[in-house]
Amino acid sequence: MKQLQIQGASGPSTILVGEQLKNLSDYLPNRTPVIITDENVGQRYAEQFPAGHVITIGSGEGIKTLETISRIYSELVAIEADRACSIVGIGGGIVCDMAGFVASTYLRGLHFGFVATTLLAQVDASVGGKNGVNFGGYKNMVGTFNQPEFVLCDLDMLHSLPETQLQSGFAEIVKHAAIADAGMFAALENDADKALALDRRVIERLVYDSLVIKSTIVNQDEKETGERRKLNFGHTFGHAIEKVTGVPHGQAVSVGMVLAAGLSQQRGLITPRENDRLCGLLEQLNLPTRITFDKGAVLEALGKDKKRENENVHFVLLNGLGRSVITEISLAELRRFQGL
Amino acid sequence: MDKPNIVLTGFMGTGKTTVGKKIAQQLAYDFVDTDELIQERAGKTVPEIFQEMGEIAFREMEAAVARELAGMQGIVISTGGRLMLDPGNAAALSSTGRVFCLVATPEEILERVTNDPDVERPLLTVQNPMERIVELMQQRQEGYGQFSQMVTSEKTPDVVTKNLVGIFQSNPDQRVPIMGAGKRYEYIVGGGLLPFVKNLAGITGPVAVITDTNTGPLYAQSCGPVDMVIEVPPGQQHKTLTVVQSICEELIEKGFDRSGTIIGLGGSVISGLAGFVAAVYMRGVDLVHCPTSLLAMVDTSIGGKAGINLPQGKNLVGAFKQPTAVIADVATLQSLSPEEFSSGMAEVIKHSLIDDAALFARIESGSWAREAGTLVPPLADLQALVAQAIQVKIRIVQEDPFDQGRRNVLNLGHTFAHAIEQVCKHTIRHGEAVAMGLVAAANLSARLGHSSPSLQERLEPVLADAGLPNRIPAHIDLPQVYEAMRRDKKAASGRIRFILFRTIGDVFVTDAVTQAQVLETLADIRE
Repeated sequence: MKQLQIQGASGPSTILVGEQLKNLSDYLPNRTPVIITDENVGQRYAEQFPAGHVITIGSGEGIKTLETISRIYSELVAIEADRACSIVGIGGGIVCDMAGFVASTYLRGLHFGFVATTLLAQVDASVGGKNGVNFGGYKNMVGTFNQPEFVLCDLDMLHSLPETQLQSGFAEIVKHAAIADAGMFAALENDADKALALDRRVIERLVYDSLVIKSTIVNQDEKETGERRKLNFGHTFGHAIEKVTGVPHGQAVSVGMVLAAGLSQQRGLITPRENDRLCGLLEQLNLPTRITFDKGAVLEALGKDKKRENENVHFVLLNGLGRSVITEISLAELRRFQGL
Repeated sequence: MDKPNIVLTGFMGTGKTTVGKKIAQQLAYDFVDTDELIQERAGKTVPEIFQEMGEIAFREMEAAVARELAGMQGIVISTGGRLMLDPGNAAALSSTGRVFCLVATPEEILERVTNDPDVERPLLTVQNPMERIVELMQQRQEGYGQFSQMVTSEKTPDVVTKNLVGIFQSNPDQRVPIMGAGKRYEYIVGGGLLPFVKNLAGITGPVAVITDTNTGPLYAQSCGPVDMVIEVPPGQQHKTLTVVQSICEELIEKGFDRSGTIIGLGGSVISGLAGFVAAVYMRGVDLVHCPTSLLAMVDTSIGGKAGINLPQGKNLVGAFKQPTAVIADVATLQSLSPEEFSSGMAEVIKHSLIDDAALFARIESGSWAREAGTLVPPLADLQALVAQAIQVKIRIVQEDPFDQGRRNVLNLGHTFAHAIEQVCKHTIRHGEAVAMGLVAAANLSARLGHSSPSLQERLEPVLADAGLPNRIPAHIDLPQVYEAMRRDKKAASGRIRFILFRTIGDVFVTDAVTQAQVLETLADIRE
């Protein structure tokens, strides 16, 4: 097991990579856990949960709404949950986003932690303290920043994940390497097959390295104004493509990274060879590098992305593999971009 | 700035020039009349400018003069009747000066204007000048309403001058710095601040005002040009997740993004709602509180707590959200009902009891009762009262930004009050229940030997003077009150926490109180 300490705005947070769900109660001293989970995780793992009330929500992005939050509040009131309770979200990003929002707002905030059960949640959702629900057709429109006290990443649980779920995780892992760590990128090129086979040693290393990169960036920038935007590499196009085509998040981000790399190459920030290496790695990990979509619709969605400020779109480009820069690109320039 | 300007605005005939000259003399300031300055420079009278060059040209001259005078100091500026109704002029002149609006009745204005042979009034060269005055006053009511008002009716120019100089010298806007969760911001309290909220709070991006349908029509326009005003129905019953959702929908629809600032304009309910929306919309946007009730000014706008109600209980959901500024315009207190005013006074009195014996003495020696439609305490006194009361809460929340200990003392009287409100099913107003709770705390403290019985005797008339009760109504069932106290969410492991007195300005937290002692106190102070 590897441990990582990060400093959230509200206190320290411990990430436990390789710890097991059955040891969860060790991290809840003197607290009554209230578990929030989804149907899938609940059915498969309930017998490993510590004793405590379990709130089960449905699954899928569609339940990430204020209505579901409202239902969870009601259940908390019904069981008289008070400040002596700890909320534990056990599940993927959706469960963690909602558990984090509930825990940040119910009684103005309870203690809380996560058991991240998907690769994406382990490398992405567990650090950064973002939570929230979708709203009015936009993702994470309502939420807060609040880092959980602990995140337990049980690697054994990854084996039950469907292919698209793993893809989402791998896309984020590639992203982290591409924006910040050339060494990790090269290692991943060598170990791609073992990674796909969920080799325990390789996955533990990848999850840990990803978390170090993300937490370093997040710590430099608690509120997503500057440095943190780097984590949006591939996501500006990714979110728009996901919205327009409905392809899974990981695939959309993968294509988004390829497009951003194309823009980087066009500006002379990376060589064609580096661009090929990025595409090659994505292919090794069974991620798509292109996809057909309605260009106009994607640009339209991109202009409405919540991160827009005035006319320019903040865009993350690579500056060599393992380095990245934040720049502003006008919608007009994106419209002219041939790679699209 | 050493010598801030004094800017006088108001309808014609309210005495701007006469009073302005007298003020300038008293303060050894220069005097400028904007109309005279424009006439002098144009070589034409105002009616000639209107006639030959048109009104637009005249307004442009006014704007130039406003900009120029804003760059100077140590002058009393008497402004043309409409000059300060232009937001640009108002912003410029108020950045370096304090603005007062002189007001008088239409009858008096007509009399003064008719008796002044020196000046021509082009706007009044009509058949029925009285009708015209009333009409113009109505048109401008809202614009003038932005500024500190000074009534001149039945007062001699000397008296008006004395009052204005007094306010000006004794009573500048008061600023209290607050550290909230590592961030510094200012609480600014004064009369007539709303029109300058954007300047005072340093807002540069888009602005959304969140207010209720009572407050919005009165003051939303006073906040100057804003990008959107969202009005919600008034009252606790609308402090819900559903209303939060509808506000967020409107913000999204109008393209409000993270570069924006939410202004919460209203009482406590709006402080809670706007604060919560600002905490969660796009994971947080900037927030400025503009409290318009006494309760919101001295209590809910300070401390960063934002919350909404669930069907099962009040404030069960919320967040800590520190504003970037709190701008309290005491002029807005004029629109409070006497009951709302008293409710706020309950918290002011509570603050004084917790940590400021001098504030208690100030309240004790003042007169704070209100009749409908009037504001008995002068604005200057109110401003001083608010400025002193907020400092108690600011001191305490700074020591404990996340409500983990010291803030408990702010619950003085509230353990009783919440229980009483609950037992009577909220038929007693919060402020009234707090008043009863304060008396109960004083009684219990004396009963346990922590304080002198004279404290309760001193407290009761102060509450009564503020229009507050000091006895629990006879119909309230006392054992039920005790039971409700025991169930309160703040009761740690079943023991009720009480805030008790050592003396006025010195309180402490204890749970060493028996059921019998509580019931004796409740019985003792029942009607």
